[in-house]
Amino acid sequence: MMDILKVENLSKIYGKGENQVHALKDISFSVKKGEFVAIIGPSGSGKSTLLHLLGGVDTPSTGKVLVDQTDMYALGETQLAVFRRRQIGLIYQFYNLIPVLTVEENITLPLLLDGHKVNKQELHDLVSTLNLEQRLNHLPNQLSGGQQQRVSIGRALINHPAIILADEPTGNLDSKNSKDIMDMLVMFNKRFNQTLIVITHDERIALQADRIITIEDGKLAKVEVIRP
Amino acid sequence: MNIINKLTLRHMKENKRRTLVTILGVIISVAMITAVTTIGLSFIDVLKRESIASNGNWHIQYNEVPVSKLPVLEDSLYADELILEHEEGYALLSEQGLEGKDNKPYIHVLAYNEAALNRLPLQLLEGRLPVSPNEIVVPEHFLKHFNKDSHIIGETMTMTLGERYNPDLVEEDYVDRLDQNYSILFDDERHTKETVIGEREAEFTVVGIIERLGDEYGISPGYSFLTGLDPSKLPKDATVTAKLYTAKPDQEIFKEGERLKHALSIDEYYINTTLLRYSFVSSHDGFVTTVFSLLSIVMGVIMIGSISLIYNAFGISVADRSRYLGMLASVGATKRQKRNSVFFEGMIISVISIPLGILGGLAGIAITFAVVNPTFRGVLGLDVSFEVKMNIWTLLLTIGISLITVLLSVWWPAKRAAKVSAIDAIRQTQDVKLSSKQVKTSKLVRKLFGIEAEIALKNIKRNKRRYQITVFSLVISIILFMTVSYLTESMKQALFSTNSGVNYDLQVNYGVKDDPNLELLLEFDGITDYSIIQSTQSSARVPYQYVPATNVSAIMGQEEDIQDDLYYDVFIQALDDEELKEVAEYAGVDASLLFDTSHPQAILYNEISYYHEREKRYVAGKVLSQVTDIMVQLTNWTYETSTDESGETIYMSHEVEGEAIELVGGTDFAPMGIVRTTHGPNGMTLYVSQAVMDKLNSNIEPRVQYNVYIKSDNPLALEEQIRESQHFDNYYISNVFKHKQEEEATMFILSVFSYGFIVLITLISVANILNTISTSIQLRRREFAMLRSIGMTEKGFYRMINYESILYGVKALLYGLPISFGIMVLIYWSILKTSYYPFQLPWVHLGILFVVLFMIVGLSMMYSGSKVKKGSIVDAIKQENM
Repeated sequence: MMDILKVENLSKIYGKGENQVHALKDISFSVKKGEFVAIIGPSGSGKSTLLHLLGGVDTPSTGKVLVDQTDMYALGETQLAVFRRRQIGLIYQFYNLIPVLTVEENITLPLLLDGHKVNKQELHDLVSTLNLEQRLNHLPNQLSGGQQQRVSIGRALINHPAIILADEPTGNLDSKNSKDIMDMLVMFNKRFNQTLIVITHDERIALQADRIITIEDGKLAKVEVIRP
Repeated sequence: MNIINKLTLRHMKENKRRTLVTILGVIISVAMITAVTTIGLSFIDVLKRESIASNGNWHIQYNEVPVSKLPVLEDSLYADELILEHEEGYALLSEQGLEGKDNKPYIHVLAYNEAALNRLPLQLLEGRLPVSPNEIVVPEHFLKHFNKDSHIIGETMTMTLGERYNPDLVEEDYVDRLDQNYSILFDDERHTKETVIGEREAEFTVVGIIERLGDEYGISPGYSFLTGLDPSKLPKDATVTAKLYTAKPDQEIFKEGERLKHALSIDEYYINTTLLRYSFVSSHDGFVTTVFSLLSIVMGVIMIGSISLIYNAFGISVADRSRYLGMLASVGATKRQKRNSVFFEGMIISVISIPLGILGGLAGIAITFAVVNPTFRGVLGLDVSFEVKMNIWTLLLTIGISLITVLLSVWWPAKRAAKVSAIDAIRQTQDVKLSSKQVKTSKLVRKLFGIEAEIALKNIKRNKRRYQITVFSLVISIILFMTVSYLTESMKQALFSTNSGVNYDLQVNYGVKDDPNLELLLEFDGITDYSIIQSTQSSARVPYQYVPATNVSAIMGQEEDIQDDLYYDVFIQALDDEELKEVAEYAGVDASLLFDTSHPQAILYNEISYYHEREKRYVAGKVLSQVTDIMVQLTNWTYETSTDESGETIYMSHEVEGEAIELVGGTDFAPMGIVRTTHGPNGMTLYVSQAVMDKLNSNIEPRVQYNVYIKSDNPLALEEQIRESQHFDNYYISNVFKHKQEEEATMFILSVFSYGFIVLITLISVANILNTISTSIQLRRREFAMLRSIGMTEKGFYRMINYESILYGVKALLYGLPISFGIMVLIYWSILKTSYYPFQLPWVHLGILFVVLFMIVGLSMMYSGSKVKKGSIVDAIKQENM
């Protein structure tokens, strides 16, 4: 199976001189299409930094990130934005929905930015899977945390991106909602062969993955294969 | 300092930009409040000083008061000082061994008492003023004309003084005394025919040199000298001109004037209404009411704008600090403590801004006056300048209004701060309590303009309060700009409607139709343009239905419906052929019609300006409401003399019907020399050809005036040249250049003040808008970062920003323009009390408004947006997650 994601010698340094911080040091790994990878590590280890670099929302100091064989950081700013829109799905701990857009609009936002028409059937299927049929015209402030995170998942999936990146997607949820969210993500991974990379400090979540990458002190400390 | 205030100060320091913008905005507001309170005082003060400098500092004048009745005036409560002038008489220049001109052979001696020397216009150039009746000061131009210099001071002059009389009108009980208003009387052979009566010897010591006195006109036959006046030394039957000066004039002065008139048994007296007006004592209520109305409107509008700015700034501060305030609430801060934190911020801002604002306002006014004064002084030729006038009361008023403005502005944000609870602050739900209905938008928006426009519109609809504040600030700015622009244009119009619209510099009146000296006159250096107009006067009756209602009531002086024909003075102006063709073209009339003497036709000059006695205001408008197909039947008055049985001469007059003349058009075009204010509400001016004029005059004895109207690049020098030339001794010369200069200077000064205000108002608005929009964008950093993270391009981001700014601008115009129009109508009504002119919208300013508004909003958003765009997506997303 082909590598959907390839990371080569990725480093990120913040600050200058004496105040320099090496958040990431020369990280290299790859992820196959349809794989579920969990990235774990202690606080401040650089996991979120890694995720942001994989998502194209930050710029590496050195190294490359190739998504579906495209060198992301060789793209121009506009091209990168469009690439992100179509190939990357980002899910955050605090949902980060647009408060003035309804559930339907938040989910379809990447399509709308592309100026594409929404396929009603596809949307209906996705929304049903996410259990949000009754909430399509609600605003984020009218939803619970779990519902908001499901909207966030829907937004990440609507364009069938190359990879989904989730940064502590259950960090702000209770245990029941956390389980529901992870079940959904795993379901998408399995059923639709959706490549999924999740940052978590929750061992139970990590153990659901195919592979666990451990980051410590900005370096790739360990790669464990859970499900070959 | 308690912890709440410490936190407040720290927050202000952390948000330096916003704090500084707020301080700057308050400084500008206070400066403008200072400016209004100062300008009002300073403006009235300069008008008062100008009136005193040109006309003297007195309030009531009585002419020919017998010396024996002076105690009546001295006893008046309004006579803090009694100013006395006495005509000492005329003496021949030849007595001094000097040869004057035929029309100026005299020295004229005027006597002033001490009060007159202090309070009447007088400019001492060298030496000192006379203190006794045997001292004299001479005018500078007298020295120039006779090649003398200041060595004359100390010399003795002996004169034989007498009074000039018209010998034709000297009878037993009546003598027609001639003063400086009357030129030398000549007979047909140009010999002096006036007589001098009552000669007496007088000896004077010259003690000083003065500028030419105001009573010496171009036609005056004598050089006016000035001596001291001691009333006790005057003969019992002598009369003086007496003027009363009071330190505290009030409305009762008009009654006092009437009372003294009866006490002195005098027919006429004069009240110095101009000076009284500037002491806010006026018989024309319109002026005082207009000044106060307009100042109040301006102050009101400034206060609203200032409150909007300061309220906005504090509102944003509270929103920004809601997390801090919530935390304070969670650790036990009371409502009062949270509220007081906002008041504390207001106090800090006031303590810094008010003194700086007052100083800034005074400095701004001082600089404005410095710019304006050279024009002001130069035009009037006086030493009167604008001075910054502020007393303790205006200072207190300024501080009071400023403090009230700040207090009103922070009141509501302080109340809001008190209500912020811990949980609201943490969740930040206060500002995001939305329903779908609130942010519902039409599908068309997305279809036509894309998702970026839809998000922009939804952002406008969310957080109603912040959006309303921004739109309100913009609306206030629009109102301020439009109303002050309109106010400026209105005041110019009002001024114009009270002024005569003079369009030439000199008028020279000559005696005969084909005067040979005319060619000579037109060859003088310095003439840039001229117009030769012959004019004659007739009368006519005009049906009332052709006359505008305002003019009807002015002519008839009553309110009831008028159904009669109205009596008009008709002034017929014969223009030369080229000029007449130009007028015809302007009026859209076939010029050839005007040369047909078999059927005389004329174009009406259809502009008029006059003072409406009954309505107590100035009116500017049209002479007639219809300008074609009207036959004007001219009538003329002829006089006959006959002798009755007792041998007395009887003068009889009767109307003679003249020619009928048809009106074929109307125009507002005025060739040089035609002035719209000359003739009152029942005057009309007709333009005809020379041929038609001759036809109209063919059956009557015409009284034709022959005038040349001249424009010059140096009218004062040209006038002097003409007067000094022997050929034009008998010609009447009028120099209106000075008057025109005053009009133009007044308008220039008005514009400087008004547009200075507009600039300051715009600065307040810019500060306000920048503050609001930049903070609004700052507070949405996370959202913008999120949009970028899911793939919104830079172009898309700026498109969204632009849509938002367009929406702000359009909404602000939708509210701002109708309100502005309403205020303009109020201003128009205020000024109607003093002057009448048609209502006109300031279209040019409207255009400028559109451009500037969208520029300001757009640039604010672009600037703020670019800052957000440059920031890291990651940091922005992380920021609110912490």
